[in-house]
Amino acid sequence: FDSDLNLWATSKLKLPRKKKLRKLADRPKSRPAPQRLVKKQGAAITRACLETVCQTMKSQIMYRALKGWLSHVRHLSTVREHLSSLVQSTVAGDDDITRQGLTREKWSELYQDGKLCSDEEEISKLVYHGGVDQEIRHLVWPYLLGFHKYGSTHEEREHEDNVRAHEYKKLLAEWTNVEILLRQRTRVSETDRDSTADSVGSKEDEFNETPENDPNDTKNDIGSPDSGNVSNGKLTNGYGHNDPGESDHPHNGTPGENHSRHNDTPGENSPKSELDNESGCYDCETGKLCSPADENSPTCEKCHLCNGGSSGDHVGSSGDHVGSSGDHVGSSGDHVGSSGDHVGSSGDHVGSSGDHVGMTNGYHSNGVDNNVGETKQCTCQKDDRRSRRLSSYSDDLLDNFGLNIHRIDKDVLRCDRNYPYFNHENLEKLRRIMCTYVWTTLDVGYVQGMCDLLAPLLVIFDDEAKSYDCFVLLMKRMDHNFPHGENMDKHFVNMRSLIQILDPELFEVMQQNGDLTHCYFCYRWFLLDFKR
Amino acid sequence: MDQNQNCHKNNEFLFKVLIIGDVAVGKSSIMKRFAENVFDRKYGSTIGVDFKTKKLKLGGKAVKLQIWDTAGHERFRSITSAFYRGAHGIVLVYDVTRMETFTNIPKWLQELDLQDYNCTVKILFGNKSDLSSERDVPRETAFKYADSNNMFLFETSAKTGNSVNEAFEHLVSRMLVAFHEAESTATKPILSGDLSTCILSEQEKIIAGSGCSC
Repeated sequence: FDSDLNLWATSKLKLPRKKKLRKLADRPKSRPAPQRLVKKQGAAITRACLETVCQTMKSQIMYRALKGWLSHVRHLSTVREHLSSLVQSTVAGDDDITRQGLTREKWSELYQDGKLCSDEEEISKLVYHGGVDQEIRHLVWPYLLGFHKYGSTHEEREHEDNVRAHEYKKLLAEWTNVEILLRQRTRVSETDRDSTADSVGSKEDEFNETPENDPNDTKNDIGSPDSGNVSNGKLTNGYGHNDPGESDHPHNGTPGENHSRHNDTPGENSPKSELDNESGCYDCETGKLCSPADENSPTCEKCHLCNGGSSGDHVGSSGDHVGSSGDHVGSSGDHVGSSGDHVGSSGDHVGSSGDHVGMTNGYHSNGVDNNVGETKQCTCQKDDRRSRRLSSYSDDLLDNFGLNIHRIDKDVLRCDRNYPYFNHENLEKLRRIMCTYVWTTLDVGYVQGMCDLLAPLLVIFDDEAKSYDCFVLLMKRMDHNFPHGENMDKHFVNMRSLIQILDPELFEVMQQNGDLTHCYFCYRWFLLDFKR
Repeated sequence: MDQNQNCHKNNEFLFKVLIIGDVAVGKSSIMKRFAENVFDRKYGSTIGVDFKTKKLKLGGKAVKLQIWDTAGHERFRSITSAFYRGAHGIVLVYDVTRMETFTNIPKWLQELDLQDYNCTVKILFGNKSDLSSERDVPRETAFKYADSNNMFLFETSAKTGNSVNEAFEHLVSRMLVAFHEAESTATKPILSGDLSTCILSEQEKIIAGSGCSC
C-alpha cells in the first residue's frame, strides 16, 4: 500500500488531495495495536477494533477508486493534448467565401490568361473548407497534387504534359514488352504440359532437337530454362492461339502439326527462327499487335509485312521508343531499321499500342504466311539483340512482375465496377496505368488498394498519362499508409484517442466486445482515404 | 477457458469465425451470401478486415456468429493475423477453378499454427463450384486432402448459394461440440490479479463478518 502511495506521490500530479491521502495512508500502520488489544480485552474492544478495520477498509477502497479515477483523468488529458497537437491552427479562418469551396466562378476569377493567379494557400483553404466543384476537378487536381505549378503558363504546362506523356509511353512500352516475354514463357510451359500429355510422338522429336539448337541460347535466356528450350513450333503454337485457359484442348493437336513442319526447316535454322519469332512478336506487338501467326517460323519478314502494310506509324514509333528506352526494346529498333521508310513517324503509336497490349487475350493470328527463307537474313543481328535484351532482366524480376500483373488483373476487374465509367476499355486503361506504376516500383510491388486510389483520378482526367503522373504524386502522399509504411499505426492510435475523448460510451462498448479498440476495422478507411 | 466464458453470455453463444484464403477466391462473397443472402459480382477487394454478424439457431441453441473477412493479399497479413487469436472457427477458402489457391492451403494452415491460436475447428470451402466447366481442382483430390488433415470440406458457390449455409451450420455444430468438450474438461478458474486484490478480498470477508456481529 505504501509503495503504491509513494508511486502516486512521485507522479507529476499536483492536487490538494494529496495530503489527505497521506493521512489515510498512515492509518493502516496503527492496525497491529488494536489487534493486540483484542486478545486481552472483551467484546467491547473487539467491536472497537472491528470498527477501526472497517474504517481502514473504507479509506482503502476510496483511495483506490480515487487513484483509478485520477489515472484515468491523467490519461485522458494526455490524449487530449496529443490530439490537439495534431490540429493545424493555420487552416482556420472559414468565412462565407471559403465555405462555398472552389466553385466554377471562383476558379475563373483566379485563373486568367492561362495562368493561375493565386497561391497554394488560398486554393488549399478554399478546397479544405468547401471542396472543389465537380466540373473543374480535372483542372484543379493537378495543382493540388503538385503536377502543375502555381503560376505556370499555359505553354509551360503543355510542354510539361508532353514530356511526361512521352515518359509514360516509354515506360508503357518497356513493361508491355516484358509482359509479352512473360506470356510467352507461361504459354510455353502450358504447351509443354499439353504436349507431354497429348502428342507424344512429335514431342519427342522436338525435345531431341531442342537441346542441340540451344546451347547459345540458354545462357542468355530471359526466363526459366523452359523458355530457352522452346522450339519455334511450340512458341508459335501457344502464341498464335492465344486464348489461354479458355480453349486449351481444341489446340492440342496443333503442336504436333507444327513440330513436324518445324522439323522440315534446315537444322541450323531452327534456333534462329525461334529468335526471329520472338523478336518479331515484340516488334509487332509494341508497334501494333500483329502477333506471329500459327506458322512455324514467323519472321521479321512477316512483321515487316504487317508493320509496313497496316501500321507504318507503329513501326516508326517503336523505333522512337527504342532510342530512349533500354536494351530490350532495342531489338525492335533493328526491325524498324530494316523497314526503312517508317522510322521516325512517331505519332501516337504507344498510345495505340497500349490499347492493344492491354487486351491480354486479343493476340490472334493474322494469318500471314511466312517465308522461312527470310529468316536467315535477320539471324545474326537478332542473336545479338536477344542476348542484349535478355541480359537486362533477371528471372526474379520477371517472376516478381508476373506475380504483380496477376494481382493487378484480379483487382482491376473488381475495382469500382458499380461506376458506369469503368467499361472494358477504361478498365484496360486502369490496368495499364497500374502496371506502369508497379513496373517503376517493383521493390514494393502492387498492394491492394492502389487501384482504388487510382480510379478516381482516371475518371476525372480520362487521360492515361496524366492520371499516371498524378497517381505517382498521390502515392507519394499515401505510400506511408500502405503496409510497408508506418503511418497506419499512428492512424489507429489517433482514432482510438478520438473515440475515447469524443464518445467514451462507444469506447466502453468497443472495449467490452472483445476489445476492438485497436481499430483495425478502420484500416480500409485510412488506406483508401475514406473512399469506401 | 477465457474464450469459453466469453462466448456464452445470456444463453447465447458468441462465436468468432475467421475467413482466410488466397486473393479473389470469394471470401467476401461467401460472407455476404451467408450473412445477407446476396451475391454481388462487383464486390471490391477487401482491404484489411471486414466483418458481419449473423444469428442463427441450431439444435435449440441461439448462436451469434461474428464473421471476420480478411484480405487475401499477404501484405495485409500483419493486420489479419491479429484476428487469428481468439477465433473459434476458421474457414479456409480456395477457388476450385484455380489450382494454386488449393495448393496454398497448407501455407495458410502453417500460418495459423505460427500464431498459436486456440481454435480447434477448421473447415475447408472449395468455392466457385458453379463454374464446373473451369474446374481445376478435382473433387477427389480435395476431399482426400481434407480427410487427411481432419477437416470437413464443402464445395460451395457464393454465387448460387449452394452449400454455403450447410457448411456454416456444420461449422457451428462443431464449434458447439468443441465448446462443450472444453467446458467439461475445464478446471476451476484460478484467482488472478495482484496480491493486493487478494488481500482486499480477505478483508472484505472480515467486513461481512463484522456486519453480522454488529
